[in-house]
Amino acid sequence: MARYLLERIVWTVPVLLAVVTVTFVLMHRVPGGPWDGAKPLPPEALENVNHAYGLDRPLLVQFGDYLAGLARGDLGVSFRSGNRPVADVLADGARVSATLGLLALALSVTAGVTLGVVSSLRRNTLVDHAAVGFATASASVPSFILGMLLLVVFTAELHWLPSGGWGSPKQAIMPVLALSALPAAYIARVTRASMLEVLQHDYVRTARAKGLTERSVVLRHMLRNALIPVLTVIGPIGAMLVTGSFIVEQLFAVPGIGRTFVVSIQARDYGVIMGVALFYTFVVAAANLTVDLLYAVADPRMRYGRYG
Amino acid sequence: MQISLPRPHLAGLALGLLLAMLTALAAACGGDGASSVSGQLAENQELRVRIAGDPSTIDPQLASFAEEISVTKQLFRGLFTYDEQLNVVPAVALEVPTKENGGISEDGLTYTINLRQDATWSDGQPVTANDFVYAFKRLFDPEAGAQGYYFDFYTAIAGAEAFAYEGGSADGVQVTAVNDDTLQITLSREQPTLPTLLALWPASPLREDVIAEHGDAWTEPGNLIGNGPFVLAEYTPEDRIVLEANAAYWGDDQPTLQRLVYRIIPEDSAAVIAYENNEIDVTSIPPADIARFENDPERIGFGQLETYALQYNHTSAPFDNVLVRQAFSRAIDRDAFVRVVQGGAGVPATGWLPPGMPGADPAVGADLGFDVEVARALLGEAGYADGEGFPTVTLSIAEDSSNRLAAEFLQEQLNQNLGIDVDIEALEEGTYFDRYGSGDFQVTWLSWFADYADPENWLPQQFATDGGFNVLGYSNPQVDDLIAQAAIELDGAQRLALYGQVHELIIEDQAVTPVFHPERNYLVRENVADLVTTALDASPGDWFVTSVRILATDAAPPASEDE
Repeated sequence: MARYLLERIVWTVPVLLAVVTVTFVLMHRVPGGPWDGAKPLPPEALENVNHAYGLDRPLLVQFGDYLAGLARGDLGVSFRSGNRPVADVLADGARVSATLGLLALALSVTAGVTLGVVSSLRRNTLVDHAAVGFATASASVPSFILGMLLLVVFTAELHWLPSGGWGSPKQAIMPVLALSALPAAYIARVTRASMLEVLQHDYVRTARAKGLTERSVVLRHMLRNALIPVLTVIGPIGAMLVTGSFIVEQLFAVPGIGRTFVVSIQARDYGVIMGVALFYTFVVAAANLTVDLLYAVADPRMRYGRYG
Repeated sequence: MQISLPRPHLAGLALGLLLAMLTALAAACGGDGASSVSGQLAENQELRVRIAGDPSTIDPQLASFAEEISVTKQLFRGLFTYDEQLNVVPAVALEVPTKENGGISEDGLTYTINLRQDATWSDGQPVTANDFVYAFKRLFDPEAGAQGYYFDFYTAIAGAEAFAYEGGSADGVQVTAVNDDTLQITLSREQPTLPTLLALWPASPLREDVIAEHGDAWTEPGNLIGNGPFVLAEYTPEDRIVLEANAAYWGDDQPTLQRLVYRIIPEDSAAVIAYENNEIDVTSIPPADIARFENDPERIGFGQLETYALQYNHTSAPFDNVLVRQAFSRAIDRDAFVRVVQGGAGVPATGWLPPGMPGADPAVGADLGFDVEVARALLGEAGYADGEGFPTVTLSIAEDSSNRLAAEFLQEQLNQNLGIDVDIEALEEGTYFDRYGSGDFQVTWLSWFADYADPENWLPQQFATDGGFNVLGYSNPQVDDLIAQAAIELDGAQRLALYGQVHELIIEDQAVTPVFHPERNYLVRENVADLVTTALDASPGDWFVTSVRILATDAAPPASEDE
């Protein structure tokens, strides 16, 4: 187990390196620079500012320099936010997005699994149709529209919730709802399908035949098995949620990393672009690894020894 | 895995309808017309302004975007400022120098400026001539101010260019303190607009000790020491900036406001909802919502010194031909443009200098306005009768919805009226400005907006053959000659007359084809009194925030807690 873990971790290093290289090349290939604007800088000012940030050096030198900095844990500074260290910018954004994402993940898993289980156990009843209908509706409304809808109802109309910002529980409600609708619907669908499949297995019949209570059959025998496919999708969903959604963060003025990323690309804020790309890679790798480890917990047949 | 799905399209449609209904309902109930404003001052003198993005910097020498400028202007006061008609008036200086009062030397090269003795920094220290000397040296420092957009405006100051980009030194910059209360500025060439320029934020005094102590962090709350009516109290990146009244402020324009809060709300439609929920007092009206607020008493509209124009690449066919450019000008129905594309918010333009700009003559270009017959005749004269043989042209724009709408309208007009095919090329903003800056376009659609109210900011850089922003490849020796004369003409009226001639020439040449001057539309809460707007505002009222008062309302509109 430890060895497996170590190997997986070591493997993320070349992946991160590849991401750094590709991002660096792409970023500099895109026309425009950090100081382009509606009014062009005087050429001399451009020279001065490029020199100050070392952008007048050959790209290869800049890349080497960046890697050297990376090795020391130095991600550089953000051009766009008054030379704040990129690490600070990322930490601020990531903390907000992670909080928002984890709340949304908790909500979508709770709502999704509950909805899925209930509808599978009451298959083809009104409850099932209602649950499936609800899931489909949430899945088909884009988060931007859902967000606007929430804003119109709860802020413009009822004046219950602030329009946006970050810091208080009230401010988190609408972004969490907007963010979790789609994943909740997806998880509900996967749970329902998986439960229906498990339902037909012999061991469920055996469990029932043993005279176990329905509650025990569902929780101990069905759900545990039915959740394996659900776990598989929770990994990528979790990674997606904690890395922030530009649309939701933009709409609700949440200072998260999804917005940081898009803004940094628009502004050609090179250090931040690189930093966010690295951060995303890291989160996705970590999420996948976590899910692989969770399989072992959920499924007694999987035990990681020597690839087993 | 078979799940019986109810028809998803219908579900989506139903929600869409629900949304539309709710929006309409919100529109109908919005505005909270019930509250009535009294003449009394409110307890809480706080103005909450929405800004769309986080300022990159509030260093006055580097601030160049609207949000940056708006905040910076409240924190510092330079030698001069503007009155409500944009005339230059003294701030830290005792008077505006002229030759008559002896402030400007006979040759027009030396400015001697006496300072108020009671001006202080927010920490109570006096503002001295040395603070200005330090600030100007820093402005031309390649490692500080000379990395920004604005230092270039002041390079008539002797020694500035040498320091900024020829490896010179700070000592060479000819700004000196005669004593604590007297500042002397020596120019290397005459610059009639110097006092106007010294009223802008880049010419603010700065504290050497503060910047030396904190480095890049000098603009953070607690570190920043300013001499303006407000001080920086709180800065939460991507969320809010809070300014508080400066207790040590020395100016005659003492603010009534105690707090000035800038809320960062990136999305336009969310900002309108925040306004309706009484979270902010001032926000812009997105173009899509103009009609909805048309008769709202809380809507304010004001003109800006800004002109949108079709801009041509003069270096190659077909736009190297003046007849083609004139035909384009004649083929565009500007009244229809303002009505259809702008929802009426703006003024049709045939001239480049906008109304409100000194020396702007609204008659310029009137003879080159919309006339389809003449447009066709001109195109025929250019050798393309009925558009025959005219190449398909590419109109490049920065991708956003209002540019796209404008481009589609122009495409339609040119096609209908001249029989010309236009391709629209929408580019990501960064890419667009990169291409624009290097003259890599055929025709493009872009505006110019004023940094200060003088044609000097609108003609020489753009239209002189060697002008810094002349990416058009436009060249007219007569224009060059007049611009050179105007640059050093100290007589105000004569100077504006020279620029007036330049204006006529570039429009006759159709160096660019002006189409309209935009109008800014904002919502301002009824209890915000004395918000004075000017054509130079980066956000409404930002030159005169000190005059704003918040009035008490009898019934406060409903609000949800902010925090």
